[in-house]
Amino acid sequence: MSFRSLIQDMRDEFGSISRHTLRSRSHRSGNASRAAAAEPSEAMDQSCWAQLPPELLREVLVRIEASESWWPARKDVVSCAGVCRTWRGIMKEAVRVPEVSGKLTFPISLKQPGPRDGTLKCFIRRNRTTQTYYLYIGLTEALTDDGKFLLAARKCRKPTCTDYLISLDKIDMSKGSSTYIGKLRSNFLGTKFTVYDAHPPYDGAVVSKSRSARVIGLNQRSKKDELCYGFHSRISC
Amino acid sequence: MASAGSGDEKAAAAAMITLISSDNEKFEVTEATATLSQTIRHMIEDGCTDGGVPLPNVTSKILARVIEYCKKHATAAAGEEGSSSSFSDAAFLEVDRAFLEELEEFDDAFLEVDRATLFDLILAANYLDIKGLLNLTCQKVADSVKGKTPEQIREMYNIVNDLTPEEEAEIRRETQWAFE
Repeated sequence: MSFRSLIQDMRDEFGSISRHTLRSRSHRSGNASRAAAAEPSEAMDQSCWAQLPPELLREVLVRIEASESWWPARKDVVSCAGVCRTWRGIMKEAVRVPEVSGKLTFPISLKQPGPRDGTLKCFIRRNRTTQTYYLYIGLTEALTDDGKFLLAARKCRKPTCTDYLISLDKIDMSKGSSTYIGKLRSNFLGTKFTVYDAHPPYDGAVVSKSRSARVIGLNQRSKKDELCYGFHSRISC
Repeated sequence: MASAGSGDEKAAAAAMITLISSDNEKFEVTEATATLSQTIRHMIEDGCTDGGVPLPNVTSKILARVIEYCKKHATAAAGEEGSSSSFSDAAFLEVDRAFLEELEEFDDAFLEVDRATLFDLILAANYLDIKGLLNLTCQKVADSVKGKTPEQIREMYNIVNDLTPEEEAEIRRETQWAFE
């Protein structure tokens, strides 16, 4: 055997070893969280769940949607809608708008009409020093109720009006952020309020604007106020 | 009258059906057990169970588990029916509760399987149209994803993330808000 062919052989062998280790390592990391499952079925376990027929996956997902109807457990529905495209499609279909179901699920629910036959009880926590407001939906009747965080707003005083920048994020309430969803603008006297969405008026067309049917007097509220959240916005585009 | 009734019951219990798995293993079960499956019930009604019922979608390993489930639930159903006539109301409720508790324990133990078996059980329950078993197995999967993040669910069930970057950005916003 020539020296060159010997080197070639060794190279092949090293190659196959490193390939093997790589493969087994990725195999292991994929299963890291799994408890000791039966060994022979492991290989099947790897792939079969992605092949669950959609009608059976729907059977599973509608059960989650139905059983986890209120916060904080409702977050499981949001989680399932983030797994892959199939799961997302089925879950988005299973979740109905708040007007019909009376439930809030995805952040988009906050822009959709609420249930007609009742109100959702919310409260606002205000931080005077940072001029920020946090809207929560009440989960229990208890005074110590922490609620489910819905929206945050930051007050921006301007010479002729006051803007409240509204965001889905407790910390980032800037206009450029992806969690920015609109603003509430008061007139100079603080007697009239207009809600704007986050669409920039870039196309030169009429500014997309939505007005709330209800005027909310924010400056008359105490630290933890309760207000009824009946937010049927009329959107004119 | 009573003796004729029990005679009929015996005849029904004695009627055996042969189920044949995909790997050609034969299972003899009573009609009461077999008819928990709507698919097999229809076959019996149509009179096409002579020579056995071939079930090409179900392996012997899974079929054995499915039969175990059907046997237990068929006995429980028969026991409930029997008890309703021969006990007073209070005694009946007592027996009923004991039955339900035992059945629940059985179901819990029955579900102690690895995920691949659970997957096959769902497919078999669907194919054989056994409502109770489909409900049980689907609920088990539903319970298993509770409290998990999308990433954890993907890892648990080896689901490939096929979402576009735009969808992923939206999902990140949604989950961050939901878990806030």
